[in-house]
Order: sequence, then C-alpha cells, then structure tokens
Amino acid sequence: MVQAAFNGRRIVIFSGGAANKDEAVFDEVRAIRDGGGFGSIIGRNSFQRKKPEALKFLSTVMGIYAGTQK
Amino acid sequence: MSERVREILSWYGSDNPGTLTNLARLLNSGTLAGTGRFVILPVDQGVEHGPARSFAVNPDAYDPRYHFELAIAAGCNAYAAPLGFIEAGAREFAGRVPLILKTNNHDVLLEEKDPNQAITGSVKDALRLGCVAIGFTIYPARSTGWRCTRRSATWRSRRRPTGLAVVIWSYPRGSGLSKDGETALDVTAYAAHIAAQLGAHVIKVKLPSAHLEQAAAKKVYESTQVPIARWPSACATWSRPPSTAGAS
Repeated sequence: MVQAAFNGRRIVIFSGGAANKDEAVFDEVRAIRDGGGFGSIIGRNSFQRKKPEALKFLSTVMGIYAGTQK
Repeated sequence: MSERVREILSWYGSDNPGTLTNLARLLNSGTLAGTGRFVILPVDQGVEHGPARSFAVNPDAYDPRYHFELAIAAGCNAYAAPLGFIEAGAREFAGRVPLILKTNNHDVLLEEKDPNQAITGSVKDALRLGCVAIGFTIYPARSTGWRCTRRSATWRSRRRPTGLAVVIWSYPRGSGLSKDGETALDVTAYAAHIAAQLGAHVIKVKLPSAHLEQAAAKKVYESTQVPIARWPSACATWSRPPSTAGAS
C-alpha cells in the first residue's frame, strides 16, 4: 500500500469506515503504525458517542501512534 | 522542527514555501505534533449519509461547533468538513486547529451505480476561511471517473499558486467493481497511486482487505510475492517502505 504511494514518500492515511468495536479499531491502528502507515482519519467512531468517551477513545488511538501505548 | 517532519517535507520538492508551511502546520499540530503521525477528524457524513444517520445517536453533534471543540480537545492534527460546517466555526475557533475544506461531496438521496460528486466549496473559500488544505474525493473505477480525474487536475493547478495543500480521498467505486473489490488490496493500492499521481500531498484510502480483485494484478501479486496476509496482520507485512519511512 505505502509502496504504491511513491514508495512511502507520500502521506497515506486510513479510514476505518463504519463504527466498529473499540478494540478492533485499536488493532487496526497498531497494524497501520507497524506497517508504515501515517495515521487515521476517524469520523463516526469519534462523534457518534458522548464527548468524554470520544476523548478517551481518541487519546488511546493517539497513544498507540505515539508509541506511548501498546 | 523534528527530523521526521523535515524528512517528510523534503518529499514535496516542487511545492512552494506556502504549501510546505501549510503541510508543516498539519504535521506540527495536536497531540501527535512532530511525530509524522496523523489523527484527523472528518465530519462530512451529514452530507454523505444524512443528518439522522450521522448525528441522532449523539445529538450534540448536530451543532457545528461541537466538532471544532472535539478536534481541539482531542488534539487532532486537523478538522475536515464541507463548507457549511467550516464556515459555522472558522471565526470562533480561528487558529485553534488546522482546517481542511472538503470541496466536493456525494449524497445518498440518489444512490447511483456510478456515483458522482457535487462541487460544494472552492479554493477561494478555503483561503478566506484560513484552511491549510482543500480536500476532495475521487472515485476511481466509476464509469465517468476520467471526468473527476480531469477536474481534480484542474483544481490542483488552481490551488497551486495559493499555497494550499491537497488531500485526496480516493475511494474506488463504480459499476466495474464488486463490493469486495472496493476495498481489495490491489484496487486500494491502485487508488492510492492515482491520487499520488494527481498531486495529492495527503492520500486517504479505506483500510484494504487481503482480497485481490483484478486478475492481471493478482498474477503479479502472486508471482512477485507481494505480501498479503489476513487483516489486521496483513498490515504488518504490506509493503513496508524501505529506509526510515515507516519509523516515527
């Protein structure tokens, strides 16, 4: 995938699509991180829940990308 | 500026300083600033799927300001939305989070086999509202896909002197593809490549499955052993770029 976008020399980000179980999203984020992807664009999983839960969810996603969470 | 951000900016050698500055703003904002990683909040589902399907489950989200606040509080790199949502908060939240104006949109009041996009915003709108980038969707594989490709080339040449970055949502859809084909690995990689060739700085694709749609591509994937495994472990092996491109 990343190879197809100029051998990693373009920023490629992934969407998760329809709202999913949190643990499944986190697994996808780990896979994107470990596979050389740059990040995620997360709409429905972010705003289709109450704000405190959304903030917790996004903080876990960012923690995974930052490497501060497994 | 971090080494990683400097490296990423070096890939966009033919862009003007305005565009590089806007890309740097994307890379240096929010919780992931400086890491070369991104989490972007996109809210175009009101148009794309309808308001109730998008917001009824969390009615606070009907309010355009909600999404600015969410993106800022969560520390997203950017917030992307169509003209109406961006206009409704661009002044109140000016300078608080990088904005991406989505300049075309598809709605489902007509569910056509080969979907089309309406133009819903312009380069001028993006500049007036202080956006770092314009975003638009292409549907490679729809029967009139050439038209949308030509249009995106026109937009890119229009925004070039303005210093806006370009984000392309590349979603293969259309009568020539099976439902599984829309997220097939070969088709998704193809869609990412088309977006890169159209001049996208940031390419958004759907997470691919391990499915291979096109017979000719399948042959090559198999003979050259492009790694494909079942999702999500597939990602761990797919085409990791050589050198340091994958490291944060």
